Amino acid sequence: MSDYLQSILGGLADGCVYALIALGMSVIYSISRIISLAQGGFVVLAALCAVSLQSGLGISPLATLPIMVVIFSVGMIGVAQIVIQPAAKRATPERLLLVTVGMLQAVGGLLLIGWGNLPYTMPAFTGDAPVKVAGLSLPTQYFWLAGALAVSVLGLWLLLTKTDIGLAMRATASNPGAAALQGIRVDRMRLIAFGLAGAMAALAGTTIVPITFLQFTTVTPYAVAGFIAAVVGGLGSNMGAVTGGLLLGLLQGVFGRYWNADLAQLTAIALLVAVLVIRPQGIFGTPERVRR
Amino acid sequence: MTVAQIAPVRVSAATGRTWLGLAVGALAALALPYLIPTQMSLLVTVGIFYLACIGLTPLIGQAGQVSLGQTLFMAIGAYGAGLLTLKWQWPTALAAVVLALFCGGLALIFGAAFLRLRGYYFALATLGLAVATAALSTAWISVTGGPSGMVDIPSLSLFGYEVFSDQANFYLLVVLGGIAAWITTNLRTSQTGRALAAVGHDSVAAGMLGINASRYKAVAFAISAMTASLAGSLYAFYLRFFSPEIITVTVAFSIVIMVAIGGSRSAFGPLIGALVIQGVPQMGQTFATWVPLFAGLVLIVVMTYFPGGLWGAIGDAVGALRRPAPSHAKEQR
Repeated sequence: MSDYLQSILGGLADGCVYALIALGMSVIYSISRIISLAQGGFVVLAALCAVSLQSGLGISPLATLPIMVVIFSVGMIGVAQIVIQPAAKRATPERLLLVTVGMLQAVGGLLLIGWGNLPYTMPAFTGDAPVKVAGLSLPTQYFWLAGALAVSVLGLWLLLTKTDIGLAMRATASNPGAAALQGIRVDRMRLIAFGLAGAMAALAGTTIVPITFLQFTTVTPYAVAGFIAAVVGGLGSNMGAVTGGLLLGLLQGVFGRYWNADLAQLTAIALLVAVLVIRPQGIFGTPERVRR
Repeated sequence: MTVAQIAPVRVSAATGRTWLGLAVGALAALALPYLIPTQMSLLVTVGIFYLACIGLTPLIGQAGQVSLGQTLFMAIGAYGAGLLTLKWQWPTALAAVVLALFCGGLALIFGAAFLRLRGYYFALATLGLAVATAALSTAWISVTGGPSGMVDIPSLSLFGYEVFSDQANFYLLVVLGGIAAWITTNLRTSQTGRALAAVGHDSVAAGMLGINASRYKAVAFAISAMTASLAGSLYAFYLRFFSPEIITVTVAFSIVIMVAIGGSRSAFGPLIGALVIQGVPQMGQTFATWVPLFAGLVLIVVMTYFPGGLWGAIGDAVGALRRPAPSHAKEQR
């Protein structure tokens, strides 16, 4: 029984990362109608940057977290300004999707050049000794992962519902044209969304890398898992993204007990794609966005 | 939106120049093995990926649907060819044809389920297929041989002649690629192509014109599946080996990147894309490392600034030089 719970917890830890990737995609999608597949790539990029920072400069693993969050939120605003905004002004949605595929590929390429084809990890934030609870051994890093997700969800909710910027962002999401007529700088709201997504990518990457191995080939599985989680939850719904991500991780953890990792991932994805055939708008989505 | 913008169709007239171009192309293809004999394996690989790409052009270029699932059909074509010929002693050519038809049928079934949904969701579903392909080809060891791959696949034998050498494979691919290019070009300029273009631009409006959007898209998807299956079979017959490394999700992406870089509205564009993506890594280890970054950046630039791909951009530039008329209307968002 405790074995079973252990693999569920392991799955949920992965699920936190998927949820953070999906949440980033969801924030970007709801404000700019762009699906950023590159989000999965930035997670790995942030993780490997943190590893290098930690091993190269001798900074403690925990201290790399705020540094990465700042660098990646600013960096993502830059990327959005240089790459996404020009593309969004010219390209159709299908071409925009390919632009983000290009970004994903480019981030993978950057990782290959900078770090080679080797897996990396780093020490846990707060020691390697796991906490024992009721026969379960919980690496302390699990708490950091859950915390990163909780902080992101709570922070996003506070930002969107309690601040003026959040109000302007929600207005942009629901009707960009009308928002612009009200004097809201729509482009700036979109940049903020990308900045938030960058911060989440940094949170996810830096927090997961102590308990796993990441390398340039991990870019695509993360992008795919995040994308599927976001769509299953209902694109544009932040609650949905979190639910979808945790669900995907949970299913992978449970199936992983019976089959090897590849098959477990495949079964989880097949199950979620089946959900989409029955309910195309996702668990929390609204139907009119999907069908034509 | 004007009619001129909707129709990406150039009315093809079989003028003398077209025939001249075809003759020059055929001569070049005949001469290539003698001009660059050291690069034959590259040319064969380019030919195989050209086949996988050219079938995608009606779906991406006309219907505006991005399929990331070409590796599934390549895998069925390749592993299927290996199984049918090794276990049941089917003739190789028959196996390739039957598998292509099977993949076409499979794509119609998948298409019926996936193509009711809007663009992103089709891309997602086909991405799911690519992920499933990569996972299954590794994990289903009893059928695919797992990570170490399937070995001892026979060479293709055609009318009693064994297509074994690089050169023979290359000529075969030139013929098949030419046929596929001819079919897709005709398709583009036919009623079906125009219907697909209408669906791609506005499926609601196309529906009002009596066009069954999902059926046309499913047909385009089936065509892409058939050429991908054929490409997979030929790849397996050529390598006499097949493994999961040949059909990773990254490869699924790179097939779409080849189509997008070259341009999805001509038969020539995917050839440029396949040459660039397959050719650059051959230039050396350093180049191979830089390819993913290079491919990604090129894709971003092409998708943002050159909607017709590199071939389309060249065509536009030539057209602008020939008649310095006012520039054509801007691409509609």
